[in-house]
Amino acid sequence: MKKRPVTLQINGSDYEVFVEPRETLLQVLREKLGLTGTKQGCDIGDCGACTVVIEGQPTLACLTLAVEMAGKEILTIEGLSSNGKLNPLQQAFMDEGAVQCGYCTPGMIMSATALLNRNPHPTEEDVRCGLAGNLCRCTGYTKIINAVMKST
Amino acid sequence: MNLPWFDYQAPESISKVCALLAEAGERAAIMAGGTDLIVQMMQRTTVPELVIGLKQIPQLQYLSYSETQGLKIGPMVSLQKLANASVVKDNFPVLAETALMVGAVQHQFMGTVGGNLCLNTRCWYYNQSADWRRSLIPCHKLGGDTCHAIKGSRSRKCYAVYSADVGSVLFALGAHVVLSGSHGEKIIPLGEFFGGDLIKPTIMAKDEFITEIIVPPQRLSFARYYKPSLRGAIDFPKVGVALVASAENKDYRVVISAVDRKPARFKDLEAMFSQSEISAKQVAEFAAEVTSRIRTVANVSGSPAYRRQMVKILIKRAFTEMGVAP
Amino acid sequence: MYGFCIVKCLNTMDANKNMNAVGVPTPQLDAASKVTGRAEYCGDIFLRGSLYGAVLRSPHAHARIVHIDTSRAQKLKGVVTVLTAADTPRIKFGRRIKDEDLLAVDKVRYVGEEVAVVAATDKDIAEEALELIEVVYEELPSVLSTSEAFSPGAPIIHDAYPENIAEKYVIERGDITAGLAQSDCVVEETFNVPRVSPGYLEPTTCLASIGENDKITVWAPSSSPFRLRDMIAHVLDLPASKVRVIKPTVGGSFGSRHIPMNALLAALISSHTKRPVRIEANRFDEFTMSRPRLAATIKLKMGFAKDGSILAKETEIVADNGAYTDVSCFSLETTAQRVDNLYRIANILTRVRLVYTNLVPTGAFRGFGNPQMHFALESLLDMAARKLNMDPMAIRHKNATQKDDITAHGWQISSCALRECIDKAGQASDWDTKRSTWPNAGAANPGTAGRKRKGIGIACMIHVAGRRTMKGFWGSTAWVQVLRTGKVTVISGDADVGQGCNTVFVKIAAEELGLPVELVEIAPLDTDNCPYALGSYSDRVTILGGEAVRLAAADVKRQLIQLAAEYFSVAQNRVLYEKASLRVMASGGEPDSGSDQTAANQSIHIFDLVRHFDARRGQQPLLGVGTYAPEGVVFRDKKSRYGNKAAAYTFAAQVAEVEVDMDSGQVKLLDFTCAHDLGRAINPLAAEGQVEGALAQGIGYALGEEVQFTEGHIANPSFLEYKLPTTRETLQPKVILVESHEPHGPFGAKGVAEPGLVPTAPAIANAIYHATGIRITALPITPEKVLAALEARREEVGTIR
Repeated sequence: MKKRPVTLQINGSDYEVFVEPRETLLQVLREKLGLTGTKQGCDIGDCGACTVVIEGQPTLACLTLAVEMAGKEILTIEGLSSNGKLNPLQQAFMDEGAVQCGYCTPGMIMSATALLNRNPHPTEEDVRCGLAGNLCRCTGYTKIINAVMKST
Repeated sequence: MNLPWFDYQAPESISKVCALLAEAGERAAIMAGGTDLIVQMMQRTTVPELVIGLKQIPQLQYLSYSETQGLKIGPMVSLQKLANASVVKDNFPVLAETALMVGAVQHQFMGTVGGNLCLNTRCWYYNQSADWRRSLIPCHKLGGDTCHAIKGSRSRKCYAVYSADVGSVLFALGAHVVLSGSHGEKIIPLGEFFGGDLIKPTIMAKDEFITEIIVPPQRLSFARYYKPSLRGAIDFPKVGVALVASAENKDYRVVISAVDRKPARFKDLEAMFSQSEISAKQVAEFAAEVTSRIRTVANVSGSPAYRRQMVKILIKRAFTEMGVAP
Repeated sequence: MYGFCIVKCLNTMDANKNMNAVGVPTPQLDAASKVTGRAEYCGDIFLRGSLYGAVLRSPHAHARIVHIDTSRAQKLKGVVTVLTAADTPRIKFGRRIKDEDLLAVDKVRYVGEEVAVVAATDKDIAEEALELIEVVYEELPSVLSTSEAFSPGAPIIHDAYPENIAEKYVIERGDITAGLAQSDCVVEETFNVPRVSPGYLEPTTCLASIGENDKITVWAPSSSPFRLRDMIAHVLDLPASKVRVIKPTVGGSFGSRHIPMNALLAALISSHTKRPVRIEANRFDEFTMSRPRLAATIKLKMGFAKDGSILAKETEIVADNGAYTDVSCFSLETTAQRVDNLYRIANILTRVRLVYTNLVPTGAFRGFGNPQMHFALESLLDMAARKLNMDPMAIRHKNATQKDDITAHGWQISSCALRECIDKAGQASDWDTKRSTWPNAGAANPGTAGRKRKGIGIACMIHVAGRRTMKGFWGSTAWVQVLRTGKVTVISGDADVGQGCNTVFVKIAAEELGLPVELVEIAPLDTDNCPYALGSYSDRVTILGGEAVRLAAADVKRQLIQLAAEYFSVAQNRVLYEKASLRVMASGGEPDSGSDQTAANQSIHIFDLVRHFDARRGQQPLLGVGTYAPEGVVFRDKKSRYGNKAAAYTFAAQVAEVEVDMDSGQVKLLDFTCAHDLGRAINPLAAEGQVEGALAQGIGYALGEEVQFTEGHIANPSFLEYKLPTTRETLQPKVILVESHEPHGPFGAKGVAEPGLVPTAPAIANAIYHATGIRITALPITPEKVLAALEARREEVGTIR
């Protein structure tokens, strides 16, 4: 299948890529653009590890076709810190011990980013609902929730 | 894993979609949010040659309400948009609540009302990877003539179940869909829409697609959907029970999802509630009768016996919460 | 749903005033790279020119391989090689029972078993090639449960084990007959526990490449990189010096990724093709490859005196090995023995059988056989408390093992705060009030108290920290280097798989050397450059690995004292190591040394000292070596299974509070209190995190997780259908870290990685019992089971509305 050019706006920069329609955004990020911060956990949208933020909305990159994302503002984990400085949410994750193996962390932080954009002062219940699509097997979510609550 | 190869088009108008469908028919698949189709393609249960994406058509994304026409929903309205729109929260709060029960937040932003309505029926023997299914002969849904959920191959029925939460509630609300194709437009009540057969549960032809969902104006005294699932997110319903009671006619609609290839409704049994006063005894009889007509098999999460029991329990719970003394 | 949430404050440890690093809550050292997406896992590494490997798996539970024809696959353009067992040395492997092959030789014994591998230039070609491999199978009747394995004429899975019994033995202590005869109260019950899957988020992608002189390098998410290296060498019939394993950041292991099969296969492909290769695992395959927890049927009978003392324990365990043994023989031994040491029990009889089935092989998932038996015993203890009219907390307190006990199995309890854990958990959860005011489990009629009923339950646990797993050296070695750059590096082979042991090692070294944590680093784990290590399992890395690090740092201090003595021209006994500096004391240690005032009170920082000698003699880096395995720990005697088998033992008490919906059977968690004796919290932040994470896994085990099978296939191989907990099922627990100061561990530390999930399921089961009077004896405790039990009880006792 012939590849087609698509310009993706990621973390404020433009990337022109040649993709087959079947390539997911997850594959393009990781394999074509070297942006491996977004993680692959299950490929079918069950775990949230691949969550990125597209036009403010938490989106599963494994269920998103790259060809459909032209012109949309995409934010990945690599786009959160500026000049090497962690943003408050990233800092809170670190400080609160919300990071163990770290594999769910990028997706979790992106979901939390989208949540805080929608609702800057969530209750614990709101945070649990907002992150329910992001599985973590290491932390039991306790300190993740503390971190999100702390950074509001 | 890679998705299979397919061609992709994103037309910018409804008529262009119709033209593509007229030409490609069986070889094409419509993609709304992608949360169902892409998973099916990954598992190779659906392998279209052409994927037609609807994201470039603004006419499919509106949401409006009027007293005379009711709620008009473009099929590409996301579940999150449905849940947060004031016209929905004010007039049909059950839709807003139910939309937030689907999957998790990401699926609610990506997934659409049209997509949920058209959710493919589900079964543990169907919704598996190609590798997993390799050692089984194709079942009814895959073009064969057996069912693995029922041991032994003499079953002539497909037991895959309709598991769409919002779709079931739309059905309970008496919604209609507008189907567009090269024939033009036709408006079909959901009851008829779900009048397909065991392989193709909806009557939607391969050259048409949903361009509008209409929930007729109605005053409701009670409308709620109950979704027992083992977890509070991600899961499909073990069963679903919707109770919609209208204020004027005192008619009661009970819809059960995830027990049949379409949302199930037993109008003849609903006639039990023609009197203005409903008694607990009537509710119990109704619940028992409905349950006796349902056959559940071991093909989704939740034991068949429990799922049938929950139908009975939730029907009673719904009527109790509506106001019938237990 | 099976859980919900209430805001709770966490208990955190007060930083010990005397310590600078130990006891201070510290984020993981690599947390910054993880929150920015920079951390590199195996799947993030792309080797230039890499082939893509794919694995052909058996579609049958039990079949003879008649013939494999790979010719069509070989001819596909882009396929570089297709390998079957014929291309391997066919050396069997396994931890003790060597019953497994790298690729199936003459038979397949479970759905998903590896039969062939393909290496191609890209993913699509590799997957297409799999379809072109023709395998002719002769299907054989299969054994899909342990009871089927016993039935007369059952198919034989391994010829060497015609009864399908991999192992069977008996453990006896005291006099069981007398014990039971003396008992005033005897309770018995049968419990069933299923397979549950580790569910780590990072799929098992492995890479391999070939270097100079055909040396193979493998990148793998392994918790035992050295053992993986040795296993690769073993199955490929190579000297270990020809294999190198690199462990990048790992996304969780939970005991199930010591020897990932994909790593062995990647090494095989690279050694054949002489090219780099990448093997990915999709999530469906992950459920097959990641060996689940041992499933078992446990028959338990216990005898008690009137006052609640345990007089006898008789057990029969039938455990489901799956198709291959792997470590299940060892985890079964844990099931057989470990919980006996939680209480003072003298009379014990345990019969075990490890049974082959044609199902996914079981393995070492966190807990290693312990959660299974704790579910049985801690549930039965509650049943006994009920019969004896005793408070469940009191009966545990009464029988609790204590410090300095030598248990019936010869375990020497060098530290134990079990009673303190019970007391603290009881206080923090307000046990007494809730126990008496919440619905009484003895109520004859569960239907009366309204649609929801609340209950509170307790369970305790014992676990090991650093079990001795071999006759030879079983401890840890670590190196500590002081560098001219003003940094210290810790070099250890004990693998951090996300649990944070790297951070613990750095804190220990920093504490011992009196340095700020920021000046200590940990070297990447590479089997070519690190000391040999057994890896992360059995809660050993803090107590053994950590103490080795401390000893290495102490060795560095000794060397620095020598250098300082030379530097200041004083006797060594006048040099004091103090806060990362060496200071000359006013006078020496010996009484008649005279009062030598040379260089009195002068001091030099350790880095300056190192740089001084480096500039003059090139003598750097300063390297300290620490090796540790405590005395008095034996490798278990194969016949008696008696002896003190671990460096230390950990204890805990957990209290669960639940609310049961009496109509639907759904169980909601209201609160959880976890009191854990970990010896010493080197990093309280990480220790809490381990308890909280393990608790969530315990909640899953209790209320929803189960690997389900249909005709030998895993029916639910996805995160959608395998119900591991989301944020909606968990809660903010109260975590109380209790420090009992273990003499064998660094700064008194033992371990805390596994215990968090061991008592969870019985605590929940006991709370449900308190709420409803029903006892569920099979995990998971789903709404289905609760409702069925409630209905059965209603029929029994009648309903009063």
